[in-house]
Amino acid sequence: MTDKAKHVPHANNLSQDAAEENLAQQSPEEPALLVSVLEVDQLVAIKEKTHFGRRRLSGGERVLLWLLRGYVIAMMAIVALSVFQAIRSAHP
Amino acid sequence: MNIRRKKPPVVDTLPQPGLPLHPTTESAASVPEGKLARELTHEDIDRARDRWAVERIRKENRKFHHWRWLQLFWLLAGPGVLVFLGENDAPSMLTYAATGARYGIGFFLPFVVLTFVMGFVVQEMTVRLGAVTHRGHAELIFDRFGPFWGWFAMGDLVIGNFLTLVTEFIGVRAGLGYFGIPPSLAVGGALLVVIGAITTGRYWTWERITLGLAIFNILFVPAALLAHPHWGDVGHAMLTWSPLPAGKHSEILLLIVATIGATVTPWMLFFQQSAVVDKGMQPRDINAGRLDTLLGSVLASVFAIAAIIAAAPLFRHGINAADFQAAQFAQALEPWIGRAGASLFALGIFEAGMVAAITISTSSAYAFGETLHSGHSLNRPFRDAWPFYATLLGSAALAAGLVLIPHVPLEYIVLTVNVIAVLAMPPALLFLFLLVNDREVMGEYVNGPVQNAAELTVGFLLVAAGLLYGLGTVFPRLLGN
Repeated sequence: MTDKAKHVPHANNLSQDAAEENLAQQSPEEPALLVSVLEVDQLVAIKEKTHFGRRRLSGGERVLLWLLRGYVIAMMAIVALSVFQAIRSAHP
Repeated sequence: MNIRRKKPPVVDTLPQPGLPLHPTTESAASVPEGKLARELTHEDIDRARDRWAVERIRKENRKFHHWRWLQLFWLLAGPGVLVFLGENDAPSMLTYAATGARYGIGFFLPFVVLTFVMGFVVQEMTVRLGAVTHRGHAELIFDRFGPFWGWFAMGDLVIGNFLTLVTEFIGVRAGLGYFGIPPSLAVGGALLVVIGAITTGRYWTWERITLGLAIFNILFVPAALLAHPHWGDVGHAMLTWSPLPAGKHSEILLLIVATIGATVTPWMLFFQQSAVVDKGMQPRDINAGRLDTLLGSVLASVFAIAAIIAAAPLFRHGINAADFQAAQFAQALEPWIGRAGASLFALGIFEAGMVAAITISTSSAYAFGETLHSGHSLNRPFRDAWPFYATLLGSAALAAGLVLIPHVPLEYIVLTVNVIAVLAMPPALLFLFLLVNDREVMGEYVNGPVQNAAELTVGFLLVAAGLLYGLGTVFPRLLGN
């Protein structure tokens, strides 16, 4: 696993040394410098405009999703039955 | 604010295999400065301040100040500990106590540890997903699989979370009821704490407040010590998984399924991933996130075992705890662990309900915000993200209100909520499996074969447990009852 920080370009005309020197501050007032520690897709405006594309589900994946959906619905019905049995045994 | 869900622009209908869909290596400093100034939000600034503190410590680490790793972990820990201590909620702690009361010190001690291992396997993946994609779980499901499957996932979450929230306030009411505090005061006070935690408008502060409350899950440890267990029995049980529980198979199976549901539930996936995103974690923080998750699972399993041990005197003295509710456990334990021990137990139940009320309502709010593409961060002030905060407070208030209505058969909700969690988990695990193996989303951080094998094992165990429970309920004679 590579350290992504090694690939982070320094922009806004900041040199490597200047950026590191600024890390000694508690936190800078200049927004551009402050957010330089975030990745670009951590910014709210960028996240709102970009989304992952739709992924095509394979046939097997669809079948599995539907099977599990049917499993959940069937199990919820059984839970309801269990609760009904509990109520009936408590109040015969 | 327009809260209608915006149709997201489709980046690629057929993404190129092997390529990440979004730029994950660029610093935000690469955005042109004028554009940045126009579009920066309060949330960006708060998150950047938290990151700045982390990067400062990292820089110090390079000067070989070895103790700084502890400082770095302090900054990065949180979501993992919170999710596991939040999952040690009121119904879970009562489930653990029920196993101790009915079957004593035996099989369920190591079984609980196994469930937390399963929980760690699953939750570690949400750390990677959140740190790499910077998207919450609900948002990723909607983006990658579409609204049809997204709303199915949300439906499971909404139902499960609401039922669980009700049981948390039942726990708050019962725990404080041991001390004679009226239900309206107990539940109302808990709601005020939930409100208070989110008024800071800062994820970091909310996280530290909730962690401070969550650590009181440790109250079950002194309660267990006051039960004066035979430590040889505890060691024997941990090593040999015996004695096995004896009695009606259907009751044993119900407790097994409920114990699994006390550790592995859908809301945990949504909460931890969203918390990792809100905290601003990045791929370089994944190891710290794993350690945070491991610490949470270890602490929670210790406290869970403590709850079993604390209630074991009821088994030793032949007390039938089959129909016990929360406050009854504390009252029944008083002759055996003393007033102090019973008080610690009751306070622990209150704490368990309190913290889970905060974390579960937050997970619902995160999921709704991501689904509706509205602001969904604890770094946002109320006016900028009122749908997020309204969901959080609304779900908590509704659950609290239900608990105060007279004659509502709440005990049946407590009975089934952990079972429902187990039953709803397999589809959630499948979505998780598909996302964390999606190379277009995860890049190099995709699952390896060992992780896949572990997750598939967890999934099969959950389905098997659910099917056995279903068969046992519909055909009780099948289990030899």
